[in-house]
Amino acid sequence: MPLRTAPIPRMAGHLSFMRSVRANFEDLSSGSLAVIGAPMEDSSNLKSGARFSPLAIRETSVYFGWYANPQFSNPINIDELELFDTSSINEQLFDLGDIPILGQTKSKADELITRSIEEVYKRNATSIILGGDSSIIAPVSRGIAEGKSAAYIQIGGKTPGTSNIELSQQTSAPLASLLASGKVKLKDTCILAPAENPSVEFIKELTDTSAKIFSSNQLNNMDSNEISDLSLTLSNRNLPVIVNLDLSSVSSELHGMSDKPVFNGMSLKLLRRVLVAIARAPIATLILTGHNPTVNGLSIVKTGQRLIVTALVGYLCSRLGLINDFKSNDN
Amino acid sequence: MSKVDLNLSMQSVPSFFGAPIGDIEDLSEKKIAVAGLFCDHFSQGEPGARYAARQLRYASLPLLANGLKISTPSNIIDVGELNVFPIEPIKTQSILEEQSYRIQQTGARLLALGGDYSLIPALVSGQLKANPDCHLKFIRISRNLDAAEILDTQKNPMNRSSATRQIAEFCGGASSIAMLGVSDLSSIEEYEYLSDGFVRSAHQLSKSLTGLSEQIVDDLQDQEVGVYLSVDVDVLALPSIRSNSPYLGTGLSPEQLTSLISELGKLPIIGADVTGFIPDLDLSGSAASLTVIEIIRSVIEAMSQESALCH
Repeated sequence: MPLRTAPIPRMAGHLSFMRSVRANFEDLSSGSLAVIGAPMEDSSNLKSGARFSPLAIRETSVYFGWYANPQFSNPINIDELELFDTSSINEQLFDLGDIPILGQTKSKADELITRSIEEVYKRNATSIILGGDSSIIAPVSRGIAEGKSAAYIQIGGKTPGTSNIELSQQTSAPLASLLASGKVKLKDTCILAPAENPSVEFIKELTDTSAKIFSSNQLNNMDSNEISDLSLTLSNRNLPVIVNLDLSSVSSELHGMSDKPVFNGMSLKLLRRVLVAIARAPIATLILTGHNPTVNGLSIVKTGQRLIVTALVGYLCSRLGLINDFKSNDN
Repeated sequence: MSKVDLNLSMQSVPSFFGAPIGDIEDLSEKKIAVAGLFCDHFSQGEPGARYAARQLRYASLPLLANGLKISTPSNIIDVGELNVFPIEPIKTQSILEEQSYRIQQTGARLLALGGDYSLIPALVSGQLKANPDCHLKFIRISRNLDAAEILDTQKNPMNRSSATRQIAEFCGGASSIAMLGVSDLSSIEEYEYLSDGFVRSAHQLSKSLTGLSEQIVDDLQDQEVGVYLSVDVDVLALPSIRSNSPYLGTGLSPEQLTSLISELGKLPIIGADVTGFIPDLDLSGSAASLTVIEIIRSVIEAMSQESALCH
């Protein structure tokens, strides 16, 4: 008989992602969804604090723990007000903890991230990586691409001025480094709701290779099947699909937590719809970046974080096959 | 990049001192079961102490320790939060007593963190139930006596202002109580009630700690004695550390408090708690929590010492 015989208060106890089971790499198998923290941040950023993001997201996710809590039968999906069968979540969703990068050099931290992601990917498990800033994207992609190449869906974030960048060139757009390293090819790229307007040159390069780019307004006018086709098309090329969700994709009135708040970003409803739709394809990993929970001073729960986790819950339920009615996703 | 041999053991979700996370089946003799108390609803002081366990777990992370060397004591297990029912005092009292009893039954010792003093009588009651033949000495380090008259236990069984008196009744009277670090003005009735007990002010303790442990158990040398140590952070004379008692500028420094706890390590401590700490809730605001973490470390060290006094 366990020590506790009754439920504990919402914020009490060990704060794993959505109260999921804590696990090791060995516990993962095909169909598992692993949540991993990568609390890395580039010290050159004036608004330091992205390293606290995994803690903050896990803490907020506890409010959604009942999605994964077997003691509540017939949980209701609070977003659509419909019954939701979550009985299988506990067998599929695991929290692996944080990658131990503190005190490591940048190159060792990168390698730890790469190897951790390799460990997950080789077990055919999918993952959600809680960054950290965008410096984690390159090592995560190396862990997935395994010396070959991967498809890449970028939601929000910076776009490179041009795809013709040398690897040695310093750039703040992670996609530029991925293209330069050959881990991602421009034709296998899809950019959704970028945080800033791309250059004319880059748009032309994208169009020439039939890569896709859509603004938040364009996404708003697409139905879920059209959005799903973007990720399904990439995965049909037999490439692992990496998704980077940068919080600069979200409209500025929703949050104050991104280092790069933008106007004209996606509403929460649209973000959730996009995540649910692209998760119909076998996504190898979703990397969450651009979240800085210390920007406005974090209290126990910050509304913006709850909204972000709402969108993530939609993603993981779709990825785990718990959402089947995609028509309702459009309403 | 060349492959380097790197340890791939992941850092688990935050736990006290990064200790292994476990449950009742992981406990055994020599182990210390560290548990959180998510409840501050029965005191009249400032609320917020229910978040102490969360913040202390965060402050244990090397990520937040900001270069401080925080190592994991090898004998502790984080058993998570104890069950409480924040709006049902009678139910809370009964379930805390039961959990304290069950931990003690395994041979492990309970260290409860967070919450406030009103919860402690229930934990002490559970310890006594598990050790019926043991003479329990209750040592409380706090600015307050909290020995007011017990009023209407049916209506309000958990009340900080009378918690010491409740514990004294469990332990066989005021002579089983030692109050250390007292610095607030308490009522004459409270002092009179504790006249058979052992009371030392913060001022007296700051002069010398020599022979203190011996004096506390002086009358019990030939008996089987167990000591329960209760530490309230309100004893600290630090305005940066908030407790659920208003700050009056009196009390002990952190160094004096850890020295006092270390002195008490000569006694056979069978259970302990650190209560009253109201943390800053910002993820990065951990300076006060780091001070409290060091105080808790000294409690763990005191609990881990071989007892030099008593049986």
